[in-house]
Amino acid sequence: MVDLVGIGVSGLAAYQRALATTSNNIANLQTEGYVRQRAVLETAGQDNLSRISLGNGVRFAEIQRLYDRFAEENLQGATSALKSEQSLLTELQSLQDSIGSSEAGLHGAFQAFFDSARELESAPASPGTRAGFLGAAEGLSARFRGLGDAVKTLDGTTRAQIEQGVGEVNSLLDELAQLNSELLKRGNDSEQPMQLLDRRDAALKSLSEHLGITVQPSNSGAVAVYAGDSASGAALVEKGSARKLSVNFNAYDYGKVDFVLDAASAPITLSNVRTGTMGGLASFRSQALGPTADKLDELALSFGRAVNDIHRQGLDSLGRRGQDLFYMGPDFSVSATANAGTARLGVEVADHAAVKSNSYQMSFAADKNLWSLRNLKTGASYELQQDLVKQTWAVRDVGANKVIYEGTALQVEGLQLSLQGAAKNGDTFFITPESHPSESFRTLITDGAEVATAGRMTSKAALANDGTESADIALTSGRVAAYTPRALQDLLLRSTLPGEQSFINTVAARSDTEVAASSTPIAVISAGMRRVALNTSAVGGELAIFTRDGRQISGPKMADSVVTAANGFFAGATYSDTYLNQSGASGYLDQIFARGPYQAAGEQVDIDGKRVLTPAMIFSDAVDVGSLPAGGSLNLQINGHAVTLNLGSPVTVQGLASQINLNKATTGAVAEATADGKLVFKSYQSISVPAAAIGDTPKITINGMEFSVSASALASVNTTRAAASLPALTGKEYLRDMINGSGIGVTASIASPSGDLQLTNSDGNAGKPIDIGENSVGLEAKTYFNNAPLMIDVPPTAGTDALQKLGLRSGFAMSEPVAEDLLVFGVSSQGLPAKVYLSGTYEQGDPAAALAPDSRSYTLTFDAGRYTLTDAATSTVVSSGIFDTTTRAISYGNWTVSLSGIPSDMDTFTLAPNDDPLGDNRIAAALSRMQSSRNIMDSGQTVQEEYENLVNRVGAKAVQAEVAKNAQQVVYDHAKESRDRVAGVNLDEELADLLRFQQAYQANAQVVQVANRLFDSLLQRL
Amino acid sequence: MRVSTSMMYDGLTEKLATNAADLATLQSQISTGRKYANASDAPGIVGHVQALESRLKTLEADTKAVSQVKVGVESQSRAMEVASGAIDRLKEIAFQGANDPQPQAVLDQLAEEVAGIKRSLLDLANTRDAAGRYVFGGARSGEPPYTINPDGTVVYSGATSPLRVRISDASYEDAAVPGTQVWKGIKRGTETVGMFDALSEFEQALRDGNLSGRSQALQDVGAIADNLGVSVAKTGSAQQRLDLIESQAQETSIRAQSALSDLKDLDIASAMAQLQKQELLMQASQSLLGRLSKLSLLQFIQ
Repeated sequence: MVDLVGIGVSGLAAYQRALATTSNNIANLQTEGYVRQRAVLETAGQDNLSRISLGNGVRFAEIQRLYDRFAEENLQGATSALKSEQSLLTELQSLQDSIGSSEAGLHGAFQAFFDSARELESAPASPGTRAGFLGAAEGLSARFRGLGDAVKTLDGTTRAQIEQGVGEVNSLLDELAQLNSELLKRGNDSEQPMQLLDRRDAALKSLSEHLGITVQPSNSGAVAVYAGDSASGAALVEKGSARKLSVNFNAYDYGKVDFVLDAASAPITLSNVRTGTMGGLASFRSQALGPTADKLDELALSFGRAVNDIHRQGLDSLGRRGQDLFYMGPDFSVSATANAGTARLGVEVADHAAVKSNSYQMSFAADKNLWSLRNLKTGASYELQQDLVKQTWAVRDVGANKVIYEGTALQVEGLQLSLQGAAKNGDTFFITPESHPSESFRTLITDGAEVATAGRMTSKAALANDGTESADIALTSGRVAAYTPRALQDLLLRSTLPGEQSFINTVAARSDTEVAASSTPIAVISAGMRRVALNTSAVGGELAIFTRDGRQISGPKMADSVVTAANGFFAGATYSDTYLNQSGASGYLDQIFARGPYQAAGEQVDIDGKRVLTPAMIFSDAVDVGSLPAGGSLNLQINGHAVTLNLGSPVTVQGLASQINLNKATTGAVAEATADGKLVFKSYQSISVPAAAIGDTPKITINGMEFSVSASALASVNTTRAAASLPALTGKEYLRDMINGSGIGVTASIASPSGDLQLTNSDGNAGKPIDIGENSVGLEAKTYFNNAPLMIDVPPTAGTDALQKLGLRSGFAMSEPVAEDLLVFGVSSQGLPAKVYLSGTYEQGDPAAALAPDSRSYTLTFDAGRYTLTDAATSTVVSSGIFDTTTRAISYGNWTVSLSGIPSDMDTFTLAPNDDPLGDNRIAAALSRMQSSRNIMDSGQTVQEEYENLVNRVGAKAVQAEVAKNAQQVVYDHAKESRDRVAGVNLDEELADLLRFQQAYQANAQVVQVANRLFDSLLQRL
Repeated sequence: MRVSTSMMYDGLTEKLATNAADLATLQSQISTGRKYANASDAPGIVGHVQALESRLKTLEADTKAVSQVKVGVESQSRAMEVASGAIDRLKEIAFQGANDPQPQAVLDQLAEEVAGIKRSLLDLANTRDAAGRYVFGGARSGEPPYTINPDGTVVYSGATSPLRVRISDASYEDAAVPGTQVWKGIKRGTETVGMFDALSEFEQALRDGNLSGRSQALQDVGAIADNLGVSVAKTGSAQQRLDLIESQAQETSIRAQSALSDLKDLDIASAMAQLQKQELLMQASQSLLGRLSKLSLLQFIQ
């Protein structure tokens, strides 16, 4: 008989457990990560009798965990995506509130600045409007700083959030690793304690809030977790071990966020943290915060520079040149890590217009003796090398494969770097901007009188002018010619760093650049270049030099037709040969030019590393004595003085040298003949001691040797001389003889008729400095050094063949800078286009030097439709031509004068530096016009439009993020619903189960009771 | 479909929160009269609003600049008006002086009068406007442009270029003009003589009784009057232009203001309607939550 009691009891036991399962579900209604459980019952086998089989009751089979892996992973993904959009949106909104607000944004501040510039424009003399302008400028500065700070604050808060997130991720990863170790103890997840699995799922869900993950479960239920949306790369957690996540920020570049695994041991950079709170924050930084900071910096730099450029063009109310109005930085700091050498690096901003607020890395390679410098933002890289002999630096742009700079100071990308001490291989410096331009933006001028409202030049009409027209003169950034030839530095520079440089005084190192015949200029000598010395090789080819206004300065006379816009001349320029091959007082702007070699005196470093002054020297090639007519003569100009060399018979190099030396007193130059038939020209040092200062007992120390004439010594010499019936010597003559007999490299002579004592270099010592020490003759004790340059030329009307005969090269030379561009043509001696071989040197000078076009006075006259512009100080006609009645403008150098009408004949205007700047508003007008200027920003928009765009861009991102967040919310809700549909607890359902199981339990109890009664009735019958 | 209990409650509470937030936004809009309080509430239009606000400020500055220039132009015009009167008198004197013969006493008397008129013209040429600018000094508006030397010659030290002020995006007007354009030199054949020099010569011719000088003066004074006439016309047209620019700026300003108001200001009527709707929605959601809590199976099995 089937055991009724057994069946009943099996039911009781099973439903008790089922009730427990349901109760557990109800109890865990709010437990995070809890997965609903279900009791699974099965029949407890059966007794097979002959024809029938009877069940043995019920058995509690298992508790099923209603887990849907797909739904769970879906939810993790949706969580990451939603969290990412949520955090992105929140931060974007804070950013938008800062930059988009009328009170804190830049738009209103720009407007206030321009409005105050307008007021300054209409009342430039009023101290009130000047103060108001400075107030608006400071308001704008403060707004820039405020925004810079706001951006920095957002940097700080998002940084802190990410760091906190990283901490939480790390503890979740550790927890998962621990759970994995527990889970790995059993082979199958159905055997796992369910709490472990629930905790695992809860941890994974929390993790997915921080960053997007991909989970790869094993049979045991242990999981491998990867960042991003595929199970590839380094696992965050695998089996029982977790990697440590860390995050790196760049102090300056807000957009840069690097997540790194195992930073301490084997760092792996995670590139796929895109979703989750951290992904959202990282993309906020890279897509919004970083670009906003960059744009603010660009605005600060571009606007600040544009204002400063204009303001520096003006004059303040006291007639002083305008200074910078704004300071934008950037300031740089240098750091080094464990350098082996003693080298120290200093960084300064040399060129505010060119400097970038980027970080740099600079390291030393000892084998090539060069530093490499890399811009860490743009990736541009440079090689820097010092020429130890010349003490100059050269900078090579690696990308362009071109030397872009040579000079004594080391300059690159607007920075001036100064190195001290000795570097060892691998020594590295980091150059970082200390603060953003927007943070350091400030107003430099505090006194209203220093606001430069006035133009630097004014025009005055002669009273006798017809008077119908006015002339308005304005500084411009320079006229633009239709064509600009290659810059001289590009023509002469090579793609390799120093080592070999084509210097005139090092003949062997001369390397010529071959320039093909061209009817257009081969190069342009930029305004401000000085000590230019260009040489053509003896093969033929000469240089013709022009101003862009058509004045030919040097070279074989060229045809008028060469002056065209296509050749780089200014529109309307006409040819003039008034100053052709003239130098000095009759030269262009009274400047010194030559067609022969030129060399400046310089400093060199001797073998002991000591700086020594070196005289200017010019070395010739072998002198072609055969080509020189014996007994004839040769005309030269040495240092601007005409020299006629009378050639002996036969012609010898020594003879030439002595002819040259005859003129040393006027030219200041001597020549020496070398053993191999060449000439060396050197500067000639001469010190004159006035006769009156010498007296009878002179005393002087020359080159460290003391010469002293005492009365007794002189008397004893004269006694000896008297015995030899020689005339008696004066103290001066005795001194001369002592010096000449001493062999100290100095010759003394007495000039006639002045009686002055001349101290000069003795033969073979030309150009050497003469040290004068303590003396009784009134000379200043110092090193006397002839630091004048040497320049050899031919007379204006002669050809350059005399130079070639002397083994010298022809070309073009000038000493002082001309403040305008000069065009260089390669021509034959007939002035026709020809191939030239060119070498040369130059120095970069300051274009704003004394010759600056805006610091000089001019006379502008009109006659028969033509204008003539004359430099007042030198009477040089710098420009003339047909007056353009359409543009009515005439430009020279960096200024332009516009006439309101068409002037009559003989009308005259004086253009001169402004001497009454108080009521002049031209610079104020230029500042107010900046509001609509499209040349300030690279994008071609006005500053206000640029800022508006920034606000709109951030706004559009916020709108986008909001839409994306709403969309993700739907996806998330759906994913959560799908998961809850399977795994969530429904109270009603559980209550129903509770009732059901309770009833089943009661019924089973009833079965036991029935069995009991059956048994009782059986007992009673028995 | 299974619906878990927490899903039901979570969904409803979330909706309640959204409703409350919407209600708060509406309330703040109505209380401020603005469509948005923070830039992030209206990210799409903030840039546009800023641009319009700047445009309005620019127009304000335009109007201010116009009135600044007007001060100068009006001073010019008044000075020229007075000068015209003086020159009319000069014409009479020249006419009278050109008659011959004349007693020297009369000529001397006329000479005195010419000297006086010359002085007053000089004063007019050094006119200062209410803003303190010498309106005939051009860009050198800070100092008197005309000075008289002890020998009676007059020197112009003002600028040749005008004090030009921007009055709208692209148009300029001169607040101070170069005096040489108003008190112009006079052409005598190919030669040009300064106006004050010509008057001095006239005065001298009267004193010397020089007849050819006196008849030359008749021509000169005519030329002076013609020159001034041209300048008066020029100044008049400048005044007209200034008025035009001013009214244009005002009109544009009104239009910009209305565009700005469309973007920024709240339509109160529709906002109130919206508020009522939102309140209704809120109440409905709340009562739904109440009902939901009663819907538990527990209610029935007790």
